[in-house]
Amino acid sequence: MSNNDHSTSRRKFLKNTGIGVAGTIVASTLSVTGSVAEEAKNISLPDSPHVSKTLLKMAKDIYPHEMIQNKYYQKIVDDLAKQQKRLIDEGVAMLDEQSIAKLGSPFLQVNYEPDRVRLLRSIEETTFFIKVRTALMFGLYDNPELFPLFGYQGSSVEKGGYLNRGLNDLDWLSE
Amino acid sequence: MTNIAKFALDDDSLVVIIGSGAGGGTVANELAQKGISSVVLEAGKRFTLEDLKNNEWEMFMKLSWLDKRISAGGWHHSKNHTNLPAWIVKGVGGSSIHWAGVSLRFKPHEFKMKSTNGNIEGANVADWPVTYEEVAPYYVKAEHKMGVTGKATDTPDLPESSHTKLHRIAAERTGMTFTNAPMAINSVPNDGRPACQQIGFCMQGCRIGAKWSTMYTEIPKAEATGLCEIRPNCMVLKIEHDKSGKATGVLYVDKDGNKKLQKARIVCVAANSIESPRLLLNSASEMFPDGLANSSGQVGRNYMGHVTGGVYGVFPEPVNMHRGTSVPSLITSEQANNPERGFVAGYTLEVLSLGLGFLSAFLKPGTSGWGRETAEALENYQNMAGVWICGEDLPVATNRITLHPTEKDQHGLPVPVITKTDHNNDVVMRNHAYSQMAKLYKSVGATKMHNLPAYPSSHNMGTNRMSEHPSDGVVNKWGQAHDVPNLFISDGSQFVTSAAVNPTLTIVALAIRQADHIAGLMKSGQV
Repeated sequence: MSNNDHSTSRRKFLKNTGIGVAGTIVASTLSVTGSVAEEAKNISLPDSPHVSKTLLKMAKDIYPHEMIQNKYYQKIVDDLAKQQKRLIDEGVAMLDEQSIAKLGSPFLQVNYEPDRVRLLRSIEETTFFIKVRTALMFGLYDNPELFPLFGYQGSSVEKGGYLNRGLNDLDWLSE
Repeated sequence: MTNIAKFALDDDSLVVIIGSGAGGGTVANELAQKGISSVVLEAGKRFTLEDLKNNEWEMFMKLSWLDKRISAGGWHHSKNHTNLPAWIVKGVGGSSIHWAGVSLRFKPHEFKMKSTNGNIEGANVADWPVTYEEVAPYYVKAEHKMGVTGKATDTPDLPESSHTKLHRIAAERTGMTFTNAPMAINSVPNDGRPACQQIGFCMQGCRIGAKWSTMYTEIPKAEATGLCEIRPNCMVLKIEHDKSGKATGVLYVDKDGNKKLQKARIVCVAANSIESPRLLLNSASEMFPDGLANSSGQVGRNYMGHVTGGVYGVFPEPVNMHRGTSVPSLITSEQANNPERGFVAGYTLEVLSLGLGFLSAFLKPGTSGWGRETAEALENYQNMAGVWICGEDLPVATNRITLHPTEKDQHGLPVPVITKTDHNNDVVMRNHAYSQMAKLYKSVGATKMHNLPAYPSSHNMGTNRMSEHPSDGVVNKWGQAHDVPNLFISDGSQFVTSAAVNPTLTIVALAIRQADHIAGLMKSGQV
């Protein structure tokens, strides 16, 4: 499968997330899916560097992986910020507002990880957070470019499956 | 094919079959082989093998039935899978495209759970009006039709994978019973289809057709007789009847949005356990105010999935569970009905791999499934092994399919509401399974375990159940509606109880048996 097909399917999924396999994180986005097309028409570039940096920090708290380079996180959240500008801008503003109220500074300047995580936990049911998390879930874990980092091999049919390719190579358990 | 059938809408000599999965597709082919003509109305489109990709989410989007449904009741789906109570397929071949291929027979006692355990408070348990002995010859036919590996057809088991090896050794160390799964997946070329290449992605549709699916077995065979017309992209809205209460035809909307009425001599409903009762309820009329064939009030009730959940263990070294068939083997020690464990009925532990994409969504479904712990768990993907619990789910009258009072789908039909709450027996059984899994995985060095709640249900049963007496259920032992003699239920919704095994083999066995019965009734002019 080409990368192009792949990202199309992911976009399609994100557009249809109301049907909900990934649970509430997906189901709750139903309320905003109706406005996706409308918002897409109103994309205005460039993105705010503050929004972009805040989303990166947030992304790395949501699914922290030392082994994944920042550029992967960045692309996922920037794409989302372009697709749903108003929702994301308002979400980041809300996050900063709460961060200042609870922790005394905007989210980007909170250095202590447990504080950031507690703050994110408190907004994990908001549409904003769910949108960001869902985009990350698909962007990181349904991304063939990153599969090798997890030891996942993805599509195998084009390689003839595993019949003669390591199907039963487990050798660390004694009979 | 040279001779594809095309029948007229006013042809009232036909069997009209609604749905083309394991039930509908099998009935269509069995009737065709006996010279009986049918039209199959399938809501979904027709796929080709080339459409089937090795990608979990892409195939989820392509294959799933995603029309709006609402989860309600006490199960976690009400919160975490709000609009996806069930995970089934919309397409020619139905959920036989998605099924993993596990082909286990019910055990004799699983046809008579009421006699076995007596009344169970809060449950609507009944015996089937048909016995294991009556179904057994049809199990044999189904196993041969589907090419079930192992003893069933005297063909080799599929080869051992690392995922299987880990479970086999764990079972040996803990004294549990291990077996290779009898699979409707060719271990040797059979029926014009190739042998399995251990590709994985069984549940995304088998790209090479090694797994039995009506999509490329029963359906094309039925069409090749020139006696079966498949109409994809046709959503049935209503079953019509005459003044005597006999079904006369089926109103449907085609791919261009045109409403059409196909006349019928016999109607077989095989649209899976949500859509089948929904259709009967939507077919209410002056004569049948509570829905067609619903004088018992049981249409839509006793909705069963399986008592289920997932368990994924983390091990010190790689397992590579994704290599090979999705369900390669089973632990069967807990299948018996042994109330001393604190619950009635039994369960099977089915070794099941998930890909990284699905695992990230199901490891901890719900709004809190993120953070360092989740990320770390996923980094262990390569070292994980897993099972899916398949336990008998008790029928409960209030677990049911109803029609939403105001919300309508794209066809103007009321959206189905799927209400389900665990019976206490389910809870005790699931916890028993989790604890058995902990024993099993610790014996082979697990460093961590993840207990996953139920996935959206692919096993859906019971909402048009069989009964001996018309007051207790919707259909008789042949799947024939008590109230409407030329209306049949041909899918898992006719199940009385759910057993500790996957439903497909039993759906196919009952469909073969039903087709025999229909042919007999037609011959003698009874319908």
